[in-house]
Amino acid sequence: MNLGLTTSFIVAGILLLSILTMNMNLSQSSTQLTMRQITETKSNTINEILGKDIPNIGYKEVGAISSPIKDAQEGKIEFEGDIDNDGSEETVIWDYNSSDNTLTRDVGGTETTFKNVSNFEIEYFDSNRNSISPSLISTLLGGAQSERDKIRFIDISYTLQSKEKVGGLGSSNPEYIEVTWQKQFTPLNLRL
Amino acid sequence: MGRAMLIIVTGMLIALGYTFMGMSNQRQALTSQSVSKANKALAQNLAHSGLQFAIDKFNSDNSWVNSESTVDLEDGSIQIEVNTTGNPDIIKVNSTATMNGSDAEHKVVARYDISQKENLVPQFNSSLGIATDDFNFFLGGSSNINGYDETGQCEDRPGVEVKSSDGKSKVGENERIDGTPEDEASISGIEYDPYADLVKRLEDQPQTERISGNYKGDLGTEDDPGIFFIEDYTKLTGGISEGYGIMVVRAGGELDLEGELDVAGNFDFNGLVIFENAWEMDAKGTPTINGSVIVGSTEDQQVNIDINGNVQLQYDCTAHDYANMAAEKDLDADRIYKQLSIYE
Repeated sequence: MNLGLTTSFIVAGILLLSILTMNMNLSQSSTQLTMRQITETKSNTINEILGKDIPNIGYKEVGAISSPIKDAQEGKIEFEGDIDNDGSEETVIWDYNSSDNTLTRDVGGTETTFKNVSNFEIEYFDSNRNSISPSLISTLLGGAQSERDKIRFIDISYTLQSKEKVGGLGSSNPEYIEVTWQKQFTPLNLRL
Repeated sequence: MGRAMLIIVTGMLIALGYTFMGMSNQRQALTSQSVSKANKALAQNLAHSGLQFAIDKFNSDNSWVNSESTVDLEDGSIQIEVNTTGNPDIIKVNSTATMNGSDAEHKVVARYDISQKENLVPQFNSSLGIATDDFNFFLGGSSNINGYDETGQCEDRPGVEVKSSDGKSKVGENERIDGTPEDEASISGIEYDPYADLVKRLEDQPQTERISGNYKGDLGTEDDPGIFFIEDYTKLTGGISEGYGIMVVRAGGELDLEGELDVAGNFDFNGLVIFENAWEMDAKGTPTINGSVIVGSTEDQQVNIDINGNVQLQYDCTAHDYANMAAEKDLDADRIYKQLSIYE
């Protein structure tokens, strides 16, 4: 057999294998990236709703609602506000259930559930940005309304998982793609 | 071998090109996502700035209502609008920001109570405020300075307040000073600038009266308090038993004469009395100043505060209203925009 032809086949084989491996890696990475983008898109939906609800805590057309935060727990917040600016106040509840990884938004009895939320935490701060202990503001722990009235800043963070697990090339341990989101809100009507 | 290699390299280049194009598309998608988030945050900031633009515009022209205006900025534009509501004391301000080359938009709606106006006259904090450190102080005769409230509507305040510990030691201990603290001055850091600004704004107003010589006219009434400047020797000859508003006693311009106020009979003045670069108050009668007296200096000169005879300085926070009413006749006080609610 021609030595040149043999060498060419070997070189071409090695190159083809390399390109195939690279393509498979890229394809895997692309799958992860696509999955991340899908998860981020879902996360954006939650962000937008939170971003509409939380800044409008205590809002009503003329004069803010007094004592609008009715419950303030690490995984739950209940508040009043005219969140759709239609002239009537609504009671809004965001509640996280860690046992089934669901986050529920309840507006006047109408529920919307977000699945695959692996973590959801709310932290509350007073006007000096000092963290307020949940024991002082949670209704479950006997917290008082007067303490909840001191809340000026609300820090919310959550982690959203992809629906399916994605593994690396040859990986036997596929994992969920996770998107973490965090934001500190300053509901202006709480200061009025 | 040459031809085979050429085919292999060409194939490789095509495969790599395809791969890199895919990577580039992904990078573009990620960048676009980041830009979109940044634009949203910028739109939110601009919308809030728009509220301020709208208030500024309305403040300079109160007739600008129920009409829109667009503020163009480098990165985007803000559409602002001030609307009247059913209540004349409340305005509604809309601000919508859009970013250039993006669909990012943020709208904020705020309502403001505009019924209140800022006080032109600073709040009264004592019976006598000495807003300079360069002074001499004497309080004697039958005169008294009282910071205790006698109206039942004010808090007890210092009889005398000064700028610094230097001023406090110049006032010293004096049992004729009543208030919190007792028998001495309180260090409040009082500055003369706000009063100097007020005097400057008032001096050329049409309703400001300059009085001098033997004066027999009125010095304002409870319903119509006035503004009176004394820049020369002035004697309140009998018949004037009370006055309301703002009285400014000061050294007189080019002639460099000290303003002098000679009170002959019993006289009560209710409001604010400012001694600027001067203190000459000769009391043969029993003048009482209800409200607050401020002594300050706009020049580098010592002020001699000599309170003798039977002068009574009585702190009275309610007399602030007379001073403010007098100032508001000529000056347009700034409106206070009290935010009632905000929706975004």
